[in-house]
Amino acid sequence: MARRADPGVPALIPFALILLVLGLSGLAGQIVLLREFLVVASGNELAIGLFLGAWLLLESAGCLLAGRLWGRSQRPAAVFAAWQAAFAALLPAALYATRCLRELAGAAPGEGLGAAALLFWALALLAPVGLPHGALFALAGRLRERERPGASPAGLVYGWETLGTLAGGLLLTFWLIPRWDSFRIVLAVGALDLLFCVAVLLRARDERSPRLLVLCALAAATAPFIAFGPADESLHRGSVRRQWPGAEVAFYENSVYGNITVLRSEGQATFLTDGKVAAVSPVPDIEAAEELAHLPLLSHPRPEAVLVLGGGAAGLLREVLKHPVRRVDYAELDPLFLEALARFAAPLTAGELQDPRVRVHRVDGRLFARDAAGRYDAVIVGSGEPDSLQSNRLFTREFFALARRRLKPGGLLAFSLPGSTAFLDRNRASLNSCVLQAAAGVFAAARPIPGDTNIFLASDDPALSGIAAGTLARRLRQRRIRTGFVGPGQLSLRLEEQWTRQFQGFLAPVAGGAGVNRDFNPRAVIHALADWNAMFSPAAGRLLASAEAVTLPRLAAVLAVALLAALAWRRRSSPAAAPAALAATGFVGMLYSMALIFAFQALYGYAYLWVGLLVSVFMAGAAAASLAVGAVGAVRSAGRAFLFLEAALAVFSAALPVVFEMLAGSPVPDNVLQGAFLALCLASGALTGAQFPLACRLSRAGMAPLYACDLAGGVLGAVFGGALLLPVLGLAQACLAAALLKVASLVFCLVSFKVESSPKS
Amino acid sequence: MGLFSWNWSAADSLPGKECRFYKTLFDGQVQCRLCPRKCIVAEGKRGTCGIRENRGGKLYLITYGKPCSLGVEPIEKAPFFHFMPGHRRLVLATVGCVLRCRFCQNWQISQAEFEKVPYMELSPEQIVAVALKQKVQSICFTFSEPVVFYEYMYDVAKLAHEHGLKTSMVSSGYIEREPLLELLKVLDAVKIDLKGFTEKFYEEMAAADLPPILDTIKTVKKSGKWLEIVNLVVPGHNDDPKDMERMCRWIKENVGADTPVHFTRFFPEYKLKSVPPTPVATLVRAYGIARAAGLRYVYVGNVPGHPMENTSCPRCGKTLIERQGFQVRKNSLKKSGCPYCGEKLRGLW
Ligand code: SF4
Repeated sequence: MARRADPGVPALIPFALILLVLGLSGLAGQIVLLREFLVVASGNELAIGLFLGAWLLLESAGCLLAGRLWGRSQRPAAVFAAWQAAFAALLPAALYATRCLRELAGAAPGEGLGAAALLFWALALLAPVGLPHGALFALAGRLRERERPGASPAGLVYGWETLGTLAGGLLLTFWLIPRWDSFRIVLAVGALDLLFCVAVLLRARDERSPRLLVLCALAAATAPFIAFGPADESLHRGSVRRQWPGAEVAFYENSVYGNITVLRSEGQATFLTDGKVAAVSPVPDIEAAEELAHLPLLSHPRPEAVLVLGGGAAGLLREVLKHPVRRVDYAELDPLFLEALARFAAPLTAGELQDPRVRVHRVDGRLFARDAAGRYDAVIVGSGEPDSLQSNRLFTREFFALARRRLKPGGLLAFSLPGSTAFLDRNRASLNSCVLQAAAGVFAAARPIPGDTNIFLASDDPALSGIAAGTLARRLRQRRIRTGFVGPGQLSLRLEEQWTRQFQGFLAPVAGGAGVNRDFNPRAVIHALADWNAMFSPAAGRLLASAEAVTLPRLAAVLAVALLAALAWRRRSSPAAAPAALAATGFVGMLYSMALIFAFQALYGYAYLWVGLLVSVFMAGAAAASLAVGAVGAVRSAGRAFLFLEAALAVFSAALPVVFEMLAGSPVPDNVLQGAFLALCLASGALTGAQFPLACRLSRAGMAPLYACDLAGGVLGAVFGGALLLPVLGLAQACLAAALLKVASLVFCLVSFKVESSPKS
Repeated sequence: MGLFSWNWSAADSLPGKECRFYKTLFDGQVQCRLCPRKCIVAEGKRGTCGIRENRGGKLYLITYGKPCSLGVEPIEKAPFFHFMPGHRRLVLATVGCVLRCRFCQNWQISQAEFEKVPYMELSPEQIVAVALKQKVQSICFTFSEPVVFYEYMYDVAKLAHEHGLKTSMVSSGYIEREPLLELLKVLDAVKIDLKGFTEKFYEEMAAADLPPILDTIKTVKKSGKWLEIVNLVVPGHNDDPKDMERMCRWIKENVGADTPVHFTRFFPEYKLKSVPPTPVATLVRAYGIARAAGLRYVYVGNVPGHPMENTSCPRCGKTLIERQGFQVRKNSLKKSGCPYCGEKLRGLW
């Protein structure tokens, strides 16, 4: 029989605090491991979706399993403490293993991994931490039930755990990541967890676990010595060495934007951002830098003011400065990247960044293009291809419209995309096509210069298309520019008609289906991801390429069939209705948060800080609503309230794209707009969070299985919604798909619930 | 395509051509004898290269007359530095390769399935007609692995010779001796990608083995056809100075000090996304090792503007051919001789 714990200790360590720490440590582990995972995945954004999906899946499995095994346990405190200790111990191990992932996966040093391998390894690496963390959620509920028999713990556990997640997000993003290395963070979190193991065991005096208590106390006392002593340094260095075998890792730090690594070898410094080569000095990729600088600037009769957006340092700026320019504005997002460049300065980078004509702006390129006061003869996009939502922001129709406003009359925009004189496959042809169509929709002339890298020039001056190689060669001579690669012969080879005709041949069959690259419909990202998968896992690549078949009417048809099947299967008072609706809410909740981040990012750029804030506010909304509904024991009819929320979620989903469009097009000041985003996050969090405690009252399934349903919906939302619906359908249609899903779950509930009898409330 | 139009439907309208080097086994199986893989191919199946298919007990090259790449480029891009410098070549490739290099630059065609890649339909006669119309001086088989489209390459090269065009092949050298000897009759120059000099590197990074490639290099040299060797230096994978030294000594002993050797710079490509570009110091060191081993024509590649991309007289050291990227900026060679000291330089000038 359940007995109450000693009332003295709970007063000292409130139960809510235990839940807060649970949420905080879960998120800390998640963020730290995700960042490291992204480095191994060479910055491929697909890894984020796979990682989050794997995490949620494991959490829900852990929760379900613990609910099954210890749902009636008479020693929940001991079990809870044991699992929490396991989580604390396994988290640093998971981090170490993540850094050794290439070795574990049998990949060569520096080799990327495909989607299938990434998913497999995400599950394998996260299992030792995701499963215990999920289990802890169920065990916390059991702990509470045993302390307060008869009270429903769902709202409390869900709410405080979510608040802990929020606190963890803010603490990690704003304070810990810029200051501590990853090992120190997880070891400190582990120490905190172990401390709370001791607290939990002390609370439950009736459970005799002296050995566990001593073990946890000892471990809690030792962990800070490891975290802040030489052991942390050797763990950090040892694992980084295994991550980059054979290389001298001269710099390995995390900024709020990502990981910056500098590898040194034989006098060369290679700068990697999230594992992807971003710059190399003292000898850069000369061919790439010269072509991207000289093809546009030689196409302009007198380039004086130039704007370089990302990727300027280590080569591009040097080439730009060879022209008679008076002012070069260079926007680079991550100050840590610039700091690394300065720390490992070569004559090349120092010369570029200290040139009096160059002004470095530590700001997102897209925002700079939007807000800059000046006008330019040339805007050059120096950052890599649009293979992520962040980098895509410099390749969309909306960006091109912004850039056009920054150009002086006769000015031009230049950017590059992957090319080949041998062959351009469907994915790369589609990538080129959707971006070219975006530029052609904005500028009077958009000229591709196809080659091993395709360079694109766009301008309102139609003469751009007719500029001949001879003119460029003459200007090269007149400006007395010395180059290693771009000379008169190369210019005429580059501009030969055979390549343009070949390029058109590559693009012709895909032009119809490739679409136009837009902010809210980032076609380029999906083509780039398909390209990635074609390299590493052709099967996944084909799947992504065939994702084009996903349309809103087809989704509606699938939903209708699924609904009819569900209704035919169980018509009345179905115990499956509330869990199914909760899973659907988990799905749309994940989709909302992704859509909100996605829309915010399209407008404002990475601003990782803001992403953290948006997610936190979303969670705060969810937590507050869950706690509020959980606390109001006297909700007259849980069934009615549940149905009302179902309807509200459907309406909210349908309204969201309209609101986004209004926000994107409105002339209101940024802070008002950002406030509106926060309000939307709060509202969507509250709508999704309020359902959980109601579902717990309505369903006999119990808290753990319901939580697992919620998480499983989240998994599908991350993988299917985030990785497929949003990029393939675009923002508006993805939200409409969410609305359809909620309408379907509403109908299912309406038919299944006996609303009048208001069960259990 | 640029020079011709494509069959985007990729429909199999041509029957392919029966392969020249294979053996019939029992049960309708055949064994290909073109490359050292020596695939045993069952009825209806294809070999490792993906383009040799057993149809009714006979082995067919299915990409015969179906190139996926065709263009006109400078010969320096190959890179061939001693083969009529500055001339324009017609480049030609079909899908398919027997190797699995993790740093392949042309993986979209080398590793692709035949059915997934659109192609042109061009007979050898049409290819030669294109070459003549484009006024190129040679036809170069390159990009993927020409060995695996052997019969097509052979027929094009033979016809090209009949029309006074030169021919060359850029290959990994993974080919059996007998077909190679036949092929060399219709080629003028061969560039071999000697990807590394250890079995381990070939096994792990290319899924192939080294000895057959070394045999090929020796056979090409013995045939009297022009030979150049390229070594792409991948940091941390094949840049051990000891291996480089062994390689250079082997080259000198087996194919002579006059064989040009290019050490080219690697940039992150295909699966090797996070491997840094080759430090130029590594390439310069390789250059020094090769020169110290006695090789007379050594180059550094993919570092445009670097003086080691130029051709110098091995006797007096004067710069004779100056290059800028893929272009020849200045060529002071008098026929094949150094205008300063009279030394004869080896090559097809
Ligand atoms: S050429 Fe192709 S089919 Fe013939 S042995 Fe080599 S890989 Fe096998």
